[in-house]
Amino acid sequence: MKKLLYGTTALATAGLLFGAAGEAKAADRLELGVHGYMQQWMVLNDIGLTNVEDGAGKHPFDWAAVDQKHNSEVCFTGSYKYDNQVTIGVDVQLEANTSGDQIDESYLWISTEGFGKVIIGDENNAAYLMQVTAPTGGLSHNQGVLTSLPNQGFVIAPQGFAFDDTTMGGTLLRFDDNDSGKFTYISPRFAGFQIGASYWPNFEAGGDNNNSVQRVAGATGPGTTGNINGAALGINYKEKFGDVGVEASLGGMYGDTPPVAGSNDLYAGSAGLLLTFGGFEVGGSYTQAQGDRSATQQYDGYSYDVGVAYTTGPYKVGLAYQRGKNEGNPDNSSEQHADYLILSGTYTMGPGVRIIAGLYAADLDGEDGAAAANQVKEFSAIGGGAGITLSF
Amino acid sequence: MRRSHGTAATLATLAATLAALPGDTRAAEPIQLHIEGGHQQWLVATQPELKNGQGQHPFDTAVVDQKHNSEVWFTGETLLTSGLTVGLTVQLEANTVADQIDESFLFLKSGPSGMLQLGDTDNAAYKMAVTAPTGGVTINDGDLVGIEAFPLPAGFDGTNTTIDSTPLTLTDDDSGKFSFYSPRYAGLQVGLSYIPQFEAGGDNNNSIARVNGSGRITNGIAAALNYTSLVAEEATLDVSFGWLRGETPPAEGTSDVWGLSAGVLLTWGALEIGTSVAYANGDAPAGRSLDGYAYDVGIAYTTGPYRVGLTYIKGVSAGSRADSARQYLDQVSLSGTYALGPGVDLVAGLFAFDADGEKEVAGAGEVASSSGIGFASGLKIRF
Repeated sequence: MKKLLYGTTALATAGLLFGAAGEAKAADRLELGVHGYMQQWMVLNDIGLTNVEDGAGKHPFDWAAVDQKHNSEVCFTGSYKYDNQVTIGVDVQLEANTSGDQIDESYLWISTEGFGKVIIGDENNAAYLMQVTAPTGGLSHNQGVLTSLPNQGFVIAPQGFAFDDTTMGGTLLRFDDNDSGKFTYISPRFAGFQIGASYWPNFEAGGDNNNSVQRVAGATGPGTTGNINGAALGINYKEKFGDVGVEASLGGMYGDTPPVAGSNDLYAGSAGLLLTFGGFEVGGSYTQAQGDRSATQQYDGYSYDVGVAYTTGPYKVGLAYQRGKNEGNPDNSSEQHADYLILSGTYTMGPGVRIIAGLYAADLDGEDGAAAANQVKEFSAIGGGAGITLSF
Repeated sequence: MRRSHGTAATLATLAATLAALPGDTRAAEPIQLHIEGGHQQWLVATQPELKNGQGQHPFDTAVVDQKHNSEVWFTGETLLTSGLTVGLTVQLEANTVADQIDESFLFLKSGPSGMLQLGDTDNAAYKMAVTAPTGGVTINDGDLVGIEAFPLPAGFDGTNTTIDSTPLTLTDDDSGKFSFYSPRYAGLQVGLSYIPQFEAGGDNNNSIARVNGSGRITNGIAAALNYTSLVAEEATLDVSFGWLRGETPPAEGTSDVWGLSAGVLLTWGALEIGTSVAYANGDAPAGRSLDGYAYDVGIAYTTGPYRVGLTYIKGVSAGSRADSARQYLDQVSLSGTYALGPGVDLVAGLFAFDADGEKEVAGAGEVASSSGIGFASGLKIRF
């Protein structure tokens, strides 16, 4: 699942994890409800300075000046609290447009108020779920609408970019653990602190493959798309001091790289901080990663974002900036760069109904030689987007 | 979803969705999704005359076959305090297919202002088209081709051309788009769509439409006019006009695509009689031409839970530009419906078909021509 795009932090997701514990149930067994979200966007690609250049320094591309994009899911969710105070729930997330990974997240969870929560199945890892990032006005940058709508976000990706699986898409710790099948524990919150830990045997986008074979003669086996023995640890702090709210997170992630990809295992760490005061939010996050992703790409790189937002009544405005760098191909001395600046606003029309609009400036540059003729090497533009988002 | 319930149902649905809610004083509530949809299971009996590209008969077919056409819809809406209604529809094919979720869109509507639709769905010219009535087994972008009641020759492309459809898609098959539907004034309603890129299913968010002039049809516009009125006691007239155009990539052809359609339906008591026609022109990617035409004519009679009808449709499409021959498809349906209960129809009928492909498209293992008669019966459940 792409991160829900109008939340300011991944803590919003962590909060949902415990939301159903106190629900009274009339039925005597778990029943599913249908929930989810829908986003329909109008994207303006030609406001100014748009440049899409190929590897030969030419401009063979035509793009839709006004494009229509989407990001939607229908989620089947439910939980049931048993007499022994244990609550069990399930969450199955169906992409609401045809997708190569039609059902990306599918997991069950078990929780008690005193012990915390265990998640088993295809879901993001604990460090990802508990991460704090910069606020936005509505158009999101950190693995958000700019880069990470299904197939393509607002911006056009240069050749070799793997937005959400490197530091080019943001600070969230995904790195090819995209809803792999895993075991996660998230503690209750004590004195503002909450910890989470995940273990997943195989890095595998979607987590749909039950094959256990991890390696074949040192190469990636059919049970994984790369790394194995993944682990993540997240620490999250949330407290209020007078009128000032503080949210902070630390996260770490590990993966065992296949020998054919290189000799450096994946290590990534992140930190995030968000302060709220009245209607104001200000925050930022930073991630550093290293390791071999494949024989032709490294994880080595960093990403950070900063942002400020202000909410009054149904209105919210925000300004956010994100920068990412990735070493790319180890045999190529140049690097991948991405810079984004977004000014956007949200108007909440009703429960779960929002209008979001804004402007963005983006500058994305791929490695020298990575793009051939007719493949995108550079993208830079001032663009805009407006959309209606529904949550239900 | 393929059209399956005919013109009257299409218009009724549209009219219902455009209905105003001025008297509703509910406070705004979150959208609650409901599960709706349709389920069809068919028995089809036919033994077609099939020839391959070399004029031979290498095919064995199931004389009695089982077919399906089903969808599960997730729908919901809420009335905001501003008087605006916001909602969505997600249509999941209920059997595994390449485009598993074909339509997925949201809408905003109000009585005085009409309705906006954003997302992957059909264009205004398609949705507002009036077509000939049927007895229950539909043939205009309908049941027979939809459930593959008989094999089609290689190169046929169903609703994307005029081979079996008078409502216009011209390869805009649920592309992502922006559509506006006006309220109905004095029986008249207009609809407009803007389609940035023609892309079946509309699932690809990629903004790059072309590389070196090759790629997708772009800048599509559809316009439609629909009229419905009581013209005499117990006599209703439905009329539609539709227009659709798009820009062909210069490396894929020299002629932009465009099409026109018109339809008329007269309902007099229990009797319906109608016809529609479409004309299309232009070059599509992959060496195809959309040049062609289609027309249908039909009559139906309803009494209580029973309905019978006779319908004919002819479609012609140029197909591959490398082959000077054309594609032809004639279909006739004599069918009936018995309404077993709310949302449950039993349909059955006889059909005849004659499909002729282009000269050089079909290989040794592919169908070049297909003709015969058959029987189809199905249960159509709406929920």
